[in-house]
Amino acid sequence: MNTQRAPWAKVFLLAGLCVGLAIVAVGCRPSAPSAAQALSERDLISGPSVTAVAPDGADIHWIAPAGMRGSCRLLEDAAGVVVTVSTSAITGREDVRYTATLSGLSPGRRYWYEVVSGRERAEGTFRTPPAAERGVNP
Amino acid sequence: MSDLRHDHDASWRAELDRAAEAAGLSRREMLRLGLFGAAAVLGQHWSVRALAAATAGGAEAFHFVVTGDTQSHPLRIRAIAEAIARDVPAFVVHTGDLCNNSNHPDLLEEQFFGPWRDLLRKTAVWPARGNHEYGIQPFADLFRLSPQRLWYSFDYANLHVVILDQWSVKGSDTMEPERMAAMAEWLDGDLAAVQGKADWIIVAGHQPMFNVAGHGSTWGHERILPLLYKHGVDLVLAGHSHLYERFVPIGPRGAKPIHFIVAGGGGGTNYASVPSPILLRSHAAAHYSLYRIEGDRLDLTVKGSGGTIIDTMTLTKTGGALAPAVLAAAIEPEDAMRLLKPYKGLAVNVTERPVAGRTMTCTLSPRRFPPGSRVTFSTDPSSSWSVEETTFEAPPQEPLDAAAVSAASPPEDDAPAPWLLRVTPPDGVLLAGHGFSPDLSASIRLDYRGRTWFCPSVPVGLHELSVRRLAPQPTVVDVPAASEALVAQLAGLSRGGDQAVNIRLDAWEGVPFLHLPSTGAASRTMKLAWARDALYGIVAVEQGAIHVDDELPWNADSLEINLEPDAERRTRLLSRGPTVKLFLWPQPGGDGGPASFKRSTGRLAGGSVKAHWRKTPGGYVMEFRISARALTVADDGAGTPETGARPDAQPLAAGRTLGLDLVLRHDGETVEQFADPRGLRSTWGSPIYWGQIRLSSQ
Repeated sequence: MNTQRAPWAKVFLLAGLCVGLAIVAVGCRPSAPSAAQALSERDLISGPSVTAVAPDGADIHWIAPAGMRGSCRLLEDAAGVVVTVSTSAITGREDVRYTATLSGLSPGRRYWYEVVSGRERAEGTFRTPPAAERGVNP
Repeated sequence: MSDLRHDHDASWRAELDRAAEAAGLSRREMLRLGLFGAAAVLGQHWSVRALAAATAGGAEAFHFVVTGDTQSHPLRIRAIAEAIARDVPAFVVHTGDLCNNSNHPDLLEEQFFGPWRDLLRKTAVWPARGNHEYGIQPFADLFRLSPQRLWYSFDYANLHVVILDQWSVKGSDTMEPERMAAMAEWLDGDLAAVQGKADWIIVAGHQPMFNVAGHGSTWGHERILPLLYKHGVDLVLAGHSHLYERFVPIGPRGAKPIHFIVAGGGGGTNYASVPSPILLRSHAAAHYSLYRIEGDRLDLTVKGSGGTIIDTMTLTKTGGALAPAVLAAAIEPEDAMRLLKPYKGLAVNVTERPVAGRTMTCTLSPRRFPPGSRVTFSTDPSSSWSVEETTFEAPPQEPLDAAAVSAASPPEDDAPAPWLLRVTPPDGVLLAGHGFSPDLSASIRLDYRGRTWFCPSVPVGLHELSVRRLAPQPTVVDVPAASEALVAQLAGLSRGGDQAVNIRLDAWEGVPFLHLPSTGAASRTMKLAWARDALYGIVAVEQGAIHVDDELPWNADSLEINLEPDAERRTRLLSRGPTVKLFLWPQPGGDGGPASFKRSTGRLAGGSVKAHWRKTPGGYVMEFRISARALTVADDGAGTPETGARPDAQPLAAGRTLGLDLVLRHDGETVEQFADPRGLRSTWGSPIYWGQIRLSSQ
């Protein structure tokens, strides 16, 4: 009996594995808010987004209803990194901006982070610039 | 570096290990990539190759994206954002106009945070403020920028990026002089501090410093541009005009020339491109700019959302100096301004209707060409018109801005004698809104200061005065006053609600069908009547199934309404001008209710237009009301009703004449049209042949 698998079987298995991974990944991700869901009903309204990336720090922003419990953490390589979450008003809006200020990052590295806002959770990634004499210059 | 999509001999795990090694990532990180979207492994969304390229380069090579004007069209914005994400840029510079109005949370979500949701989670963003941010707040709040100074800079490896602000504190007006001075002082110091430390310097903002099409912006020439030359800036990147434009390098003699690029293709409505002698490339479609820097080499690749390569450019430096070929191609800023827009809005005057095969003489103002330049017109090989080759010499005066030689300028205002251009129309030629159909275009060779600039195809339009002169006077059709019974019935439409949906055809029985100049007979479907408060109308359509298109109603079943309050027979319709152009159509599903509505032009406040529809056994009936306020012309003393000011409402009165065109469509085909388009081509946004109605006392 020929026990060798046909070449297409390997491809099929690989595709099946990938689809399985995709299902798991989609299942693990927080459900995207539906278009019909009003902004005010969401725990995480917009974001997160990353700005002010310097070799040793970055800001992660998201918008959420005022009073929502919000947190941010690095998923790995977090040694020596300090994360401070603060909130501030957005002119003309009732919801507020949350900012996670990250310091102690290493230059030229990719970081993965997780933001939790109420019942919603989001993951993201960014890369710090290589070491430079100057960073962000306001 | 490996590509999982093409290596079927190796296991996916070994491939991941190899890719991880190449990318400098742990297997866990690579696995996270897979989990982030398993399509990574399938090679559909995340490209491992791109990620590895983005990560492996370290300080020596990196790439980033510049885009802007993410407005109006969420699907287009999302398509561009997804394409950017696939390139895994180190960061994205957004050149402003996050959405149509950043003070509206819903619009911000619909046009920026929503479509960019995944992209924002994969890279960092550096934003500039556009005019659609409408003031410093809440833009500064959103990105935690100082509300006093929205200009800043940052470094990435050997690149220095400056983000400029260009607008007033409270709105989208010109920046206050004192703030401009403060920004210039900061910029001078910022750029001085990076001399010898950055190999590449890029300045980004919303408004371009050189721009032909769209807004045609030339921002910052007095206060900012000299500083950029002083400190050896390499590129100036902007948006604002929703297209791509890359110019020849521009710089004063002895200074390093700058590459100016307009890249407002983040998803907003496309602006048509306009040829210019000094444009190396222009493209009118959604796009983004991918820059890759590796030491002294900079590569630009401009891409469409489908991955189409729109433009490429490579710059290299030796000892900090650009290649001799780049320096040789450069022109001075003063010449660049003279050569920027000679072809924008290029229009001729004619005194006779075009006839196929009969050569006619057009007149053309020479005041848009550089002084002393020689301009040769000839036939554009891609055009069906023929143009007699003729060379003219431009007068010694400085050229007027394209806007000053506008289509509305009377030809007799031209100080120098107009140029006479002889052209021969092709078969089937029609007079159209801004010119002819088929379009007249010419090849133009421009010789100026020892260099020759050739544009093979330059569109040539027609002055508005010529259009009006040649378009026949419309037939005036009387519209009756509404009876008391009809006014009572229409009061329901005015108030809205269920009563209005109960459209009573018998209330319209005393109103005759509208006479149509297009056929010389009465309409089969349309009736109009007026009262002091509004113009009313009804269409009763027998057509069978209803087909609608909410995005492009003119391609389905709809009623197009064009109303000109003062019957000026305009050929240019402005978004906030007095001319009302709108579409009404039945909502999909159901048996009736409020009609769908899309405004193209006109100062229409909320409630200015009301319309309802009801399904009938053979089609549908739709009733509408356009308020007297929407049909009131501003009288601001300047005689310009297109200033955007909202005048006090004036009641409609007997004897008043209004410009009108109605087009009833089924599946995009015209069923009936009010105005007579024969011999003319009424193009989108410019119905050159206005019909007219007179409000009758009967």
